[in-house]
Amino acid sequence: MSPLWVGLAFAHPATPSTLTLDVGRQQVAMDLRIPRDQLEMALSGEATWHPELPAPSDALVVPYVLANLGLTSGGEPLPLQLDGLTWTEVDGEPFVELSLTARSGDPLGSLVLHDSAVAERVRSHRTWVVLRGDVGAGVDVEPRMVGMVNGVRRELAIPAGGASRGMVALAAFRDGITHIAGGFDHMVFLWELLVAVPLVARGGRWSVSTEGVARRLFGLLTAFTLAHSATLVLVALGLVHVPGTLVESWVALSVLVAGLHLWRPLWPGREGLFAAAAGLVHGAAFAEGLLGSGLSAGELALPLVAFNGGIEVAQEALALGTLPLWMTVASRPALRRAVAGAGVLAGLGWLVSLWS
Amino acid sequence: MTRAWMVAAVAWGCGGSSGTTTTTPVTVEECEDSASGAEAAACVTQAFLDSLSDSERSTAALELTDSAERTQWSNLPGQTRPGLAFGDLSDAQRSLAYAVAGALLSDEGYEDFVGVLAADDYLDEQGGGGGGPGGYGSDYAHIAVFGTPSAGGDWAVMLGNHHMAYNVTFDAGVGYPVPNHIGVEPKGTFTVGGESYAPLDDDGADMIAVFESLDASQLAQAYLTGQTFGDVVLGPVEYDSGSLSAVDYPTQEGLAVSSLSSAQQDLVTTAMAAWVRSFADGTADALMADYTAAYDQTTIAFGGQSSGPDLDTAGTYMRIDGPRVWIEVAMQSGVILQGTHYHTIYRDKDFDYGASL
Repeated sequence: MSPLWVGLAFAHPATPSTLTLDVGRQQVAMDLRIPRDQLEMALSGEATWHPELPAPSDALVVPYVLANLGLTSGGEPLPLQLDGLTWTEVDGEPFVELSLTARSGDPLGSLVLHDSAVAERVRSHRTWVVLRGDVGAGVDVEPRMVGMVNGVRRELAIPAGGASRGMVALAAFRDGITHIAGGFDHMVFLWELLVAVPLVARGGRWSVSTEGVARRLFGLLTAFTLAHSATLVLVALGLVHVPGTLVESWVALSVLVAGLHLWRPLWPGREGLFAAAAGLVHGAAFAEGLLGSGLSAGELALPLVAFNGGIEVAQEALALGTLPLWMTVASRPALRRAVAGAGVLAGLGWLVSLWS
Repeated sequence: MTRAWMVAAVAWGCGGSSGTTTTTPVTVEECEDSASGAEAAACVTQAFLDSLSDSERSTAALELTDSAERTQWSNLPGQTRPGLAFGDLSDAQRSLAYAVAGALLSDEGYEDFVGVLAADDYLDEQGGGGGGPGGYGSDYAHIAVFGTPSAGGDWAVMLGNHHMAYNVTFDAGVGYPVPNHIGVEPKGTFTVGGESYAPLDDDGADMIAVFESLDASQLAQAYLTGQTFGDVVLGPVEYDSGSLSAVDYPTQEGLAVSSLSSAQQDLVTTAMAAWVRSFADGTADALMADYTAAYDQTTIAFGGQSSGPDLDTAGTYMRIDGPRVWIEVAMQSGVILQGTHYHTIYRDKDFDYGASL
């Protein structure tokens, strides 16, 4: 989040509204947050705000906002649907939050926001417009402020929309690859699993066996992939919610435990099962910060599949590209213990940093 | 000539909210012989910079091209502001920071500067309620210098805190003191550290006097029908953007100053001067001349109660709107204390930031 956006959030007279947009291929999800006192001033028709102004009812707010908010795609107005309205407080200041969706039967063209809510009457009012998600730019984009509307400027071009299916897929695929490339914890974890692939347990100790390596590698990657794909989709679609710190702690724990297992066999022959269990956790981590979005499952399907594809390709590249390396490490107990120890230490370190 | 601010700079070397009084003398006497206001301002500002360590200077001295930082001013407490916090300055350095304000401002302006800082110490003393990250108090005021101060050069100073933003840009020695936000809570007289203050009360009275001089039909013409104001319209809308693209002036409305009697026009001039003449004559003279010469294209307007502006009613709003000058006064309901408080802004439509963003 931009510093401005955070800074304006605490209680003070004349707090601005914020409008947050998630732009899909054929729809735009919008969250509009209006400070209650500003809305009361706009709706009451009175010249000044005072505590006795009637609290605005949902029945008053909804038609007012719908009459003063619009989105055009290629010049054509899109129908707006209200998905929800909640009265809430942020740092002790009351707000109303409206979730809306603008849908188009066709791919979106150039988008222009039309917003005169509150500011048509309360001329000191302004609304910051934040682009939170844009499937054309990928699934892992930072929210950014794209502008402001006020009593004078009631239109704002939204720099998003108009992406083809191919662009959406490519951007998400690229984000999947960079997600792994930048995800050191996932790489360490994967490597710990990989080094264990050519190992079989004999009498509670590891020994090298190249027999069936290809089969074991395939099994391991499949189990991990299926599991993390499942949670990635569930979390990204909002069907399952897991607190971020919990997810990160489980990821750190999985790195630590995989390191212990690599040091000395804990569940020989059941690496696939472990990979699947850990995959569920890592999938939830992959989904964190993705298009947090009011967009429909239909909109999210393509980018999620492509993103997952990017993750797969990066993982396979890591597994196959470093094959001679992890085979060598596996065959030298000192190197294997070094990797195992590094994993244990890294996992411990993450856990400590998360909970201290 | 020893101007009042030079004495004041010494007297006000006390540590604000920390209450530590210092008698450290401030040597800005060599700046007294300056040939122009710009030269004096450059001289004092350089003396301030010279008092800093290298690392302090790297925080306080920025480039004139650092546009984002030049727009990091706000009416709010707890915002990121460029430069050094007064609370991090030594007593001697702090005295010089006050002296910089003294060199930029007129005696009346300097009184408001000191008073608004004192008001924040007062809010802090009254329990403040935090003020977000940071808090209330003159310790949180910041000073930043952009470019190299020189009599005929291009440079700028920002002095900012809660309810305070002085942005004075010198363009080849010509000062542009805009945008200038000043506000104060509480409204009226308050006492802190044994001293009494009432900053902006005279300015508010000057503005009210304009509207009180209007007859019923003039008042109706000046009223902004169908509009309400929770604040000034053009507060720190450009914060951190480094650009003026968010500064949207509304279409001119209200009562034409040219339609007023000459006595009423004098009241408008006095009200305008309450903001413009907060700055040193060298800066203010030319601006006042330009603004008053444009009365045929200037209006006054108000919002809030249609019966006329009232400083004790939250939502009261007053505006002077010319081809260049833009002054707004909005009465806010109190945040920490009961009653209303001032929010004001003075901009120049052509010369905010000296037109050098």
